[in-house]
Amino acid sequence: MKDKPNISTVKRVITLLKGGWTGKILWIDLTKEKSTIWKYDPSMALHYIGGRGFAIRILWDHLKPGVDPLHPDNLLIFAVGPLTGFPLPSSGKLVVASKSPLTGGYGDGNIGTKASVMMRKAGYDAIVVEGKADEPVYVYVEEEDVTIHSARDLWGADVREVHRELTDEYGKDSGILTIGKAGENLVRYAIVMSEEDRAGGRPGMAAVMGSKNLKALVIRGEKPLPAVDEKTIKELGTKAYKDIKGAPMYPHWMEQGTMMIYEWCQENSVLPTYNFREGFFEEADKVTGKVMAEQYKKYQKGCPNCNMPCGNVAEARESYKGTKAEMDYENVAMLSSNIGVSNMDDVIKLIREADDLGIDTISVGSAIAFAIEAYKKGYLKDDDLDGIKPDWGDASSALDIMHLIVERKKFGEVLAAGVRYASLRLGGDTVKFAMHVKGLPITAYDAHVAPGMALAFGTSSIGAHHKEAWIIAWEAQYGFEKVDKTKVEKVIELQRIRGGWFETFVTCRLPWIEVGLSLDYYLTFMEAATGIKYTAEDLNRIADRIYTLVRGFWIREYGYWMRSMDMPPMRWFEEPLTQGPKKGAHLSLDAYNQMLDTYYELRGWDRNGIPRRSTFDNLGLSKEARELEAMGVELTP
Amino acid sequence: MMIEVVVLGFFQDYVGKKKIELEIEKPIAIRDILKRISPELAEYIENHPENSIILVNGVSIYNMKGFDTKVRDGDKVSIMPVVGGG
Ligand code: SF4
Repeated sequence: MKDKPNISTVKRVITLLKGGWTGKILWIDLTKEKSTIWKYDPSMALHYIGGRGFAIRILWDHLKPGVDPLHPDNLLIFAVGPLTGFPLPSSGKLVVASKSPLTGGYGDGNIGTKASVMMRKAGYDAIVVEGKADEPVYVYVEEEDVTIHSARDLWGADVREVHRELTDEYGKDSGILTIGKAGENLVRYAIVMSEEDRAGGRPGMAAVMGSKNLKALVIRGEKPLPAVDEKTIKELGTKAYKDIKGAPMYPHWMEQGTMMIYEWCQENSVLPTYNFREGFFEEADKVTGKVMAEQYKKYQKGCPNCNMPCGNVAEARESYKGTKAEMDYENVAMLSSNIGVSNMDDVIKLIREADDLGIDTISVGSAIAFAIEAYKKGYLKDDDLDGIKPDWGDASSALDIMHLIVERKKFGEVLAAGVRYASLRLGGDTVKFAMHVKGLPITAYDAHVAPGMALAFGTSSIGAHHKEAWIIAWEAQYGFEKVDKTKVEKVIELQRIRGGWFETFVTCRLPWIEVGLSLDYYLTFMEAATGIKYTAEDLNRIADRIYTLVRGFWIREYGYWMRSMDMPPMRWFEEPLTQGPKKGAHLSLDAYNQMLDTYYELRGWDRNGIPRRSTFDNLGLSKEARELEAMGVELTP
Repeated sequence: MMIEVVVLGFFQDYVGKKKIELEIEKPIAIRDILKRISPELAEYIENHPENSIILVNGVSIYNMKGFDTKVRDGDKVSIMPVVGGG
C-alpha cells in the first residue's frame, strides 16, 4: 500500500478517532487481485470529514497526474462519512468518485443504497478500487474477506437482472452496486446503479467501473457502527424523525417527492424545454407531480434510514403498459420537456430504459436533445443516426438514440463521449447549444431568467450540477433580476452546506432542504457520533478546503485554467426565450462576468478562477500549491 | 375587476386548488389577498416568510412593497413555497 501510515499514526487513529469513523479504508487492486486494509492518518478525518472530502484527498495523493480516466491506474472511490448508517434521518448514502472520463476533472455523485450502511458495518469509511481485472468480475466484501468472482454470466445483463441475481446469491440486505451495458461499453456518462432505480456518479463513474472490468460490488458486514454516544444518537434521531413528519410540507412531499417542482418550474419559466432553448413547455400540464401522483404512482421507496422516501415508482398505463420507473424531477424533466415529450407513459419508458442500461438520465436527455437539434439544423444526416429521424416529442426515436449511444454505433459513438465532445466534432453553432459546463450536462433548470442558478452551474465543482448551489427557489424569492453580491454569497453558502457538509457527513440533504429540518441537528449528530464539537464555521472552512483542492485538481489535470470554463453555454445569453410569460428574457454577459468576479474574490481565487497562493496557504494546502507551481502553474500571491 | 391567483406546491393543501379568480373592487394589498384565499395559509406565510415566494406578474414582492404590495385589475399573483427539487 502506498503511503502506509507508520505504527505511531495507527495508534493515533485509535486515540484520536473515538467514534464516527472506523478509521479504515479497504484498498482493492484488481490487477494484482489483492486487497489491503489501510488505517489512514486521522488528520484526514478531522480535516476532510468523509465522502467527497476523502475522495478528493485520496485522488490528489494517490492518483498520478494526467492519468487517462479509463486507464487501470485511475482510482474508483466509494466513500461514506461519520454519520452514514446511523439511525439518523436519511443517512443511507454514499459518494462514488473518480477522475471523470466525461469531464477530465474531478467527478463524483451520491447514491442512496444499502451498500452505504453495509460499508460501515463491514468496518470501512471508504473502498478504493484500482487496476483492472483480466475478465469481467464482481467483488464481494464481507468485512475482512474480500473475494473476486467471475462476472462472465452477468456481463451484458441489465441493471435489474444483475441486482436480482446478486440478491439471490447474497441476500436481500446486501449492499449491491452495479453497472449496466452503458458502463461496460464505456459510455462516458454511465452511472452507478443500486437497488434497480437508484443512481449516482453522473460524470461517468460507471464507465470507470467498466474500464476495470468490474460489473458489481457487493458488501456485507455485521459490525456495530462506531458511535461515541449511541444513546444521544438514538434520542436525537427520534426527535429529528418526528420533526420531519410534523413539517407542514411533509404530506405534499410524500405525495409527489421532487416531482412537486415540475409545475413550479413551469410557473417560473425555468423548466428545460427543447434543449434548454425555452423555460416554458406548452404541454407541461400533462407531466406534473400531481398527474404523476394521482394517475401513475404505484408505490414509493427510499434509501435506508429515511422516513420521507422520494422514490415514486410510476407505472405506464397505455403504451408500454406495465413498465415501471422511479420518477424524480431531474429524470422526468430531462426526458420530457427537454426533448418535447409530454406523454407520461413515454417518460416512464425512457427512464426505465436508461436505468436498465445504467446511463445517466440527465446526460442522456441532454444528448438526445442535442441530437434532435443538430439533426433538425442539418448538422447530422440520416446515415449518421443509422436512419433514425429524431424530432421533438418523438419518444420512440429518442429511445433509438439512447440505444445508438449505448451500443456506440454510428454517431452514437461520438454522443457517448458527451455533448461537449459531440459539439467540438460537429463545429459551427452546435457549440452554443451543447448544454454543459466543463463537459457535464446541465441538470433540469433552464437559466435564461436565473443568473444565480447560471452561476451555480458555472461554478459547481464537478461541472454543471444542481446538487451543490441549488439556489433557484431562493432566487425566485429574492428576485431573479438581481445580480448583486448577496446572491453570489448565497451560491457559496449553499455550496458549503450542500456540497460540503452533506457530501462529507455523508447523509441526504433533502430532510433539510425539502422539509426544513434544522441544520443545528447536524452539529449535534456530529458530536454524538465523533465526540468532536464541530462548529458551523469549522464545517464551512472544511468545505472551502475541499472546493479549493477540487479546483486545484482540475487545474492539475488540465494543466491550465480559464474563466470561460466557469461559464454556462452561450445559448442563455444570446437566444432570448420566445415562449411563455417571460418571453424575451436572457442572461446578460456583463452581469454574469461581474458575478463571477465577485465569486472568485469571495473564494480567494484569481480572475482566471485559479486559487491564490495565499488561499491555498490559509486552508492548509501549501504543499498542494507547491506541487502546482512545480508543474508550471502560476499562482497569484 | 379581476385578478388571477395561482397557488403551487403544498400551499394548495390550504386552498384546495391551483387557480383562483378573485373579484376585487379596488387595488388590494397582498396581505389581504392571502387572508381572503385562506386565513391559515396567510398565517403560515406570516410565520415562515423565508419559505414563501410571492410574485406579482413574475416579480417578487420582496423587491416591491412586500406584503403591502398592491395588486390591480388584470394582475397575476403567484404564491408558492420555496420548494425543493433535490
Ligand atoms: S429523501 Fe429521497 S434521496 Fe433522500 S434519503 Fe430519502 S429516499 Fe433517499
